[in-house]
Amino acid sequence: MTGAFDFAPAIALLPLAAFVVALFGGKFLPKRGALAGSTALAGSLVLSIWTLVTVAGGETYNADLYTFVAGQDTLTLHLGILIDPLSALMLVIVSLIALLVFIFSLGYMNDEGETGLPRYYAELGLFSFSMLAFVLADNLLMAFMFFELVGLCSYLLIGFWFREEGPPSAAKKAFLVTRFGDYFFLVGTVGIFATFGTGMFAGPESFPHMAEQALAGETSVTTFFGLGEQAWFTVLGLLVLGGVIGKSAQFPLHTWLPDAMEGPTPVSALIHAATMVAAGVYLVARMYGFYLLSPTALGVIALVGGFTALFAASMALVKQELKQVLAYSTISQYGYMMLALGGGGYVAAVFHLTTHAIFKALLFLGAGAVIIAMHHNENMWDMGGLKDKMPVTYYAFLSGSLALAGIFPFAGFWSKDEVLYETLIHGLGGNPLLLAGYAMGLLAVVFTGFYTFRMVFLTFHGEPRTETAEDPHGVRWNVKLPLAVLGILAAVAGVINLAPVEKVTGVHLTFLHDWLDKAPDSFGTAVHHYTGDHGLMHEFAGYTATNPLGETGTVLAGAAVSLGLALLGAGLAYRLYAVPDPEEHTDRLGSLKTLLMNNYYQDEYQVWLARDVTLPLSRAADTFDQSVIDGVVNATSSVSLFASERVRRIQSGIVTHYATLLTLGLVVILVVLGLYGGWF
Amino acid sequence: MVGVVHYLVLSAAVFAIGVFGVMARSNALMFLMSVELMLNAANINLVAFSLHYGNLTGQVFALLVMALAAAEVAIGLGIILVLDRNFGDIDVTVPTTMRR
Amino acid sequence: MAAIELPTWAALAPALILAATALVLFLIDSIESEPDTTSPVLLTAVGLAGALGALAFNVWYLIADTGQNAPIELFGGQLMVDGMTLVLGTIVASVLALVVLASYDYIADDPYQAEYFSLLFLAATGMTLLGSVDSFVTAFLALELSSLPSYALVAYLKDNQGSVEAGLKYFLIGALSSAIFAYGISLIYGATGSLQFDAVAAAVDPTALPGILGVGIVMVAGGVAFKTAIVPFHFWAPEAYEGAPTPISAFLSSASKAAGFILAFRIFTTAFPIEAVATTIDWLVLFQALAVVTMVLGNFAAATQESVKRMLAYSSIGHAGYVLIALAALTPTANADLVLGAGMLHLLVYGFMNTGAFLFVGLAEYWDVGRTFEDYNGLAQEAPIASVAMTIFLFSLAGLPVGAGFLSKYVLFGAAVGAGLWWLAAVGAIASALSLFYYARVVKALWIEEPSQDFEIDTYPVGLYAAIIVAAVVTVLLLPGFGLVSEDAIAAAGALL
Repeated sequence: MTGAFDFAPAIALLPLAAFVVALFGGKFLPKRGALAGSTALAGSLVLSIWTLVTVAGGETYNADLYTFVAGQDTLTLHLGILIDPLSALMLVIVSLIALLVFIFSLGYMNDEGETGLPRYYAELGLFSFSMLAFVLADNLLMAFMFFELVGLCSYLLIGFWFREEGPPSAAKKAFLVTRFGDYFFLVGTVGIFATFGTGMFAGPESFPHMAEQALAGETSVTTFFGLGEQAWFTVLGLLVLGGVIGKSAQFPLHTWLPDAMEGPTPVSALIHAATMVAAGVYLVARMYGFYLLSPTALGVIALVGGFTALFAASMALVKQELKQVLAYSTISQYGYMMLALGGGGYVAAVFHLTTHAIFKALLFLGAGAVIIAMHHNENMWDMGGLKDKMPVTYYAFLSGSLALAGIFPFAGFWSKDEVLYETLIHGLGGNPLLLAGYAMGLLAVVFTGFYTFRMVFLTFHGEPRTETAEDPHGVRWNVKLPLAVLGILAAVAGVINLAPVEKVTGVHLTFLHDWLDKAPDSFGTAVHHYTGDHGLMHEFAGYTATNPLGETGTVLAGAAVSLGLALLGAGLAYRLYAVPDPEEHTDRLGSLKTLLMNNYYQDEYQVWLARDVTLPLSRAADTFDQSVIDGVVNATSSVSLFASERVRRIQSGIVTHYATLLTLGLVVILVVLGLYGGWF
Repeated sequence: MVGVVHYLVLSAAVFAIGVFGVMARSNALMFLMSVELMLNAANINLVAFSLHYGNLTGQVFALLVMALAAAEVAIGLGIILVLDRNFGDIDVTVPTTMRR
Repeated sequence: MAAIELPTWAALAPALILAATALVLFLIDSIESEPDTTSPVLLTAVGLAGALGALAFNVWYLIADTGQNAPIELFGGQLMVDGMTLVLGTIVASVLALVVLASYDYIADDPYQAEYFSLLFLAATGMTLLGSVDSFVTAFLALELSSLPSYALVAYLKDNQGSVEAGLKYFLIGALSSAIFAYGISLIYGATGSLQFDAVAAAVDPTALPGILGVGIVMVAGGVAFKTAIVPFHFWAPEAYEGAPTPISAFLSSASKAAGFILAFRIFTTAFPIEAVATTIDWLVLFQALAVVTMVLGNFAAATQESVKRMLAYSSIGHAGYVLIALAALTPTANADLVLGAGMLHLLVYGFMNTGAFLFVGLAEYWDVGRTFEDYNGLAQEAPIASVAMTIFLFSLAGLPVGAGFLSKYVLFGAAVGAGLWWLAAVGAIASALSLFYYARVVKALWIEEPSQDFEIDTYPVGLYAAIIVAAVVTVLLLPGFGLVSEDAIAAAGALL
């Protein structure tokens, strides 16, 4: 039978072909490989949609393609493909965004006359291949390999402008920091193979299933260090989480992402906002059945997520550059996804992943358009008043911002609300850790609203503050088209899972939930298996949901609180920055004081909150980030180099010294082993 | 009666002298001779234990060790010759061009 | 079965072919009337034919399962042929073929080419024989047969101070180590009354003379450690590899090291199985300590080098540390087949990627590019294909999944974890992380830096290029083809235990 699944490998292989074409023939192609890449990604998108439709028809796929090492006792390493609703959805997201980024790059790179374009498109193609293959992976080892490969592509693309000073060091930092996490991931992978003998994600032979059976007492597995089964699974889960934290830029391994903005903006949109950074969250969702077995691991995930959401959002408040704000906001939003996963909101996390991919790619591409217009000046204080000069960009960007801030009824509102709601009810069900995460997430909502609209107002509103902003550079269709597509999606994508509306009106509207629930029982990846009434979450993680105000009441109250807080943040920004000349804001305070006493007190309070509380806090957070965390990273490398220098001294160059050291070494070994073995 | 232990002590002494020579002498020829001493210490053991166990394995191996020692010296003298040509000396501590 | 039954001595065909090739090369050179007038093309062609012939026999035997079900014993149990012999033979013959190909260009202007090739084949014969030794007598002979020509080869550029110095140091440390090895053998003979591996294992009596046996075992380990450049017997390696003609550095650091390890595997699994000697000397602890020290020292020292060749020399010490895990992890709880097999696999993969990396350095020397990292700046613009190959070698050495180095390291560390030695795997992983730093420096210099000099590259040497590209292709192909070779290697390890 020929069906969509027979072409599944092609989804990943088409961009690989584009990589080869761009690498070797890019110089001779009219658009330096952009067209080859766009065509390949369009093909991937069509195939992904076909796959999605097939999965919608109730079919799934889980098969080996190629085996590296087979049958040696328990170790089997192979390449395979797993297509269930989750991966089908992710395939569409990745190929859609990658296609739009290829088109956008025509405007951002080709029209701007950049050099080295074949290299650019080749690396972009290689990235798309690796990312799609990562999504398709049916086992942990394959996932790890492509996880590394996307990291390599990210390194290459961040350092694309390698002749400048910033990008190469940013690239190096990104590579080293993520790789630091990846080593934990590697150890975790080895541990999982050693424990279960398999790295399969789904099916009766998969490691989540085997772990579940082991905990249920039906089978047993080898554990290490004398740990109990659940404790050992927690250790394994946390080791893999190391890779996730690095890749998804969670605290404390988030430091690379803001620096990564040195890369070309389309790359930031594709890799550092929508897809690669999502790889970490996707991995947790992929092996969610394993994490649900360990309440400790879930608690850590939730806490890391909640803290990252708040911490990163607070730093976004004071950034001057457009892309820096977006970078911190990305970290913060991935924090929300981790919070949802830790809080038992599997659907919510996938939902937020989907909407975030759309609106964050949109914001980055919008920022790219602004940067083109501003002749590659990224400082927001040099912008202003761009609203009338570039309306398409403005309205698309506004749609993305409303979604990011979580304003009703844009996509981000629905997903973020569901994240917070799920965390809240499970926290109230007797889990204070989750409540702490929830509180941090809630506070971050205010910050998000504030920095998002600060960015919008500074960039697009008011009077132009520089000459470039007076007369911006125009952008062409290839920039506007992706913006328009994503702008519409950012406004309406929320309809895929209107959980609150369903709970209030009783009309069935949670399509994403149904979709993710389509996975067959044999896979063990369906939603009801995870969080249903008899799902793993209740059986093993011990989560229960409590709705103090009744279900409808709690839903409405939660939504009202988060919307209210988002509006509060946005309003604050409006007060401070939606004026013709926001820089002179502090001076205006004086005149306001004499005119409107009440407003004065409010303003002072707001200004105090923003300038005297939040700013030092953010600065402190920033300093901590720059000094302590970076310091630890740098100190490690200095210590290594110092030790290396010592080691090198031993090699003096005089051969009799070598003979002496060799003999002494032998004598030391003899004495130690002799005492140990009792020869004397 | 001279027993196997005596031979063992003798060979250990010869070996130790050889090791000392390797560490203390910088003349390449002395270095070679010291190594020869160490090999001969091994030969003493082999022959003594061969007698002790009453099989010929050890003695045959001792012959082979001698042959190999000769081959080793042949190569060694060649290298010492080019050493002298390049550095004007056969002091093994002189060549340190790769030291950094 | 084959239609014609081969005699049992034919199991040694790979070694015999290599020895015969060495003699043929001598013969060709001696029938020329004038010295040094033999055509280099003829010498290379004969050499390549010999190496490929040996390779063909090894691969054929591996496929035909020669000696893999039951070892073929020869000469009264002095030599034997089993799966591990053939795995080593394959590694040596493959590396030899690459080195012969590359030497055609590298020594094009030097005299005594016939002697060079001849010595190369004699050394290769010794290395191949090391895989089939079954007694300490043959082990010592084969070890010397592989070492003596190597000393001469390292000092081959006899008007070059570096080469002579390298040869001298290699020779002196080698002579010292072989004396230690011989003395160790004599002590083992004293403790057991036998030199044949199985007989030694049978005669080991932990209660009588524990000291003599223990000292003997440590000294034998020292002799092997010299061959494999394991700390503290590694001192010769950085200098010998740096000063030697680069194809010889490649040959020694890949093939010679593999031969040393295979000898170690053989001795410590057959003659001193851990369950027999554990009360006297727990060599697991010894090798665990040495593996850690070797991995750490090799990688740390490599990180501060300025010369690429010397960096590769230290990295080669680091890799010896990784392979030593294969012996160090033979704990009673380990999956022993997998542990030893993983060591052999890493040697095989390492043979290609390390040889390739050294040959790239040889290519740079051929062009007079210079030795330091800075000298390589921007070389990719002049030689993109070779630079792609070098990038593959280096990333594969570091353990990134662009070449089979990723899988072999992964299996090795995984096997260590399976043996309960998670800390050993952790040290290996950390050392690998550090290694990425200095490997990436070369890649960065090649691709990213601006050229710091004007390259005068007018010719692209065919032999060197061909060798580098073949090595790169094999390094990459072993990634999907890992399953094919891993079965043979793990089965060969299984036969030992």
